[in-house]
Amino acid sequence: MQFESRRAGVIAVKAGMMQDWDEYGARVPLTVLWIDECTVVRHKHQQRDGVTSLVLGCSAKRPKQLHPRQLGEYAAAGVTPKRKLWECKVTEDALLPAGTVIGAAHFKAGQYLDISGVTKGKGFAGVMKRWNFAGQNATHGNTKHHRAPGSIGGRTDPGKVWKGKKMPGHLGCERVTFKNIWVYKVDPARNLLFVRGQVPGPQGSFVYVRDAFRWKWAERQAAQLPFPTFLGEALPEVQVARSDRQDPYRVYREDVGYFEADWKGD
Amino acid sequence: MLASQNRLLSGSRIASFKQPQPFVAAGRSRCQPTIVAKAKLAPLVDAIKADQIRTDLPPVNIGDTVRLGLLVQEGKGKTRTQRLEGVVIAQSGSGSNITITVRRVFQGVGVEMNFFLNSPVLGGLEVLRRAKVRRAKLYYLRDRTGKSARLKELFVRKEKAAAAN
Repeated sequence: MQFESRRAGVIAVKAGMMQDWDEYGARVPLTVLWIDECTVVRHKHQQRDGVTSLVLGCSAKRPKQLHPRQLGEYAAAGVTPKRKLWECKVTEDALLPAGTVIGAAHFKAGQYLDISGVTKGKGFAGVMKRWNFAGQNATHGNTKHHRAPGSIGGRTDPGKVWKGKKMPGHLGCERVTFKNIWVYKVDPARNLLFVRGQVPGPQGSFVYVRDAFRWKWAERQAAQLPFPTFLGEALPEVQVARSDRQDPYRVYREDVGYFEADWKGD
Repeated sequence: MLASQNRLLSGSRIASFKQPQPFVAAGRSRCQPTIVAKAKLAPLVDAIKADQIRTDLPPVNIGDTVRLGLLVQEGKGKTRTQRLEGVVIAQSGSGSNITITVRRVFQGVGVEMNFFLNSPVLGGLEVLRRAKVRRAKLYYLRDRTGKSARLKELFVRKEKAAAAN
């Protein structure tokens, strides 16, 4: 694995949220991601298609629901029909043949991910929800303008409303990437990823999971991620990561001016 | 237009008219040769959460006076149990993330503490006294002190309590 290498990502389904307690007894909120038969459908090459990428497919779809030409494409790739397709840009050394199944063993507990998804739609949202405006007085004689935006510009100068003025409008249902999400636990047998925190989108939606882009090369190398993917026979056991933060319950000694865990001694 | 070209007269359209099929379970599986695994998401997460629910602690009701044992780290890996007492004034959440709020007046200052009942940090839980309350949340106790903050005791027969556990 080189510095410039980019591994394949994965399409996962957001199954729900739960929690667990780490080795220090601190609570870790978790999102459960289920990798439902993520398979490489085909790949694209720089010379032929102008980009080096893998087309991944996730979740099954009934053949009856697809056009015969789409079914033919899946048959040519030797892959069962998929519900969701996603093109994932990779480097040439990370290309995988069509039909390769990528499971949860592709990831390691303790690594960081960038997770993209389509956020929950909020409909036509007002200016306080959409742009965090402060609103106006609830009482003191305010008439019908408690959540209104207020002034939207000057007077004769500039004599117009600037483009991009923050106003009410549609909010949500857009693609968003959450970065540097820590993987707490990996269950390769059930193809489950337990990641810390939130992930965009409602339950049951598809999310696109990739290795974190802004992850220091030294740490990425030390994590020894399976490259280009996990190709072993036996699936590894369930791995739970050690906490990547300091013990939140460590005792601070005021007389010494140190946390006890850091105290090296006299 | 020739009669043979007329699609209505030719047999093809009539042949494609769908006959109502009787519902036969075996017939449906023959129509869908590919097995589509439909996993349900909510039961999956509930099954994982069910492993976390602790069964060793007694059930807690609103109004109970409880004594909790918190496992506290002391320096070099030694663990001590710190006892905390108070009245349960609220319960929130369900399943593996049940939370209780315990209130106590400590040295003249009202203190409320929140605990996850399924956390490994809870060493033990002991119900000292049960109370007859008619609320799900006893936030009114925040405005009361001393004698007006007393709760009427609920007496439960020992046999009934044993049967409930």
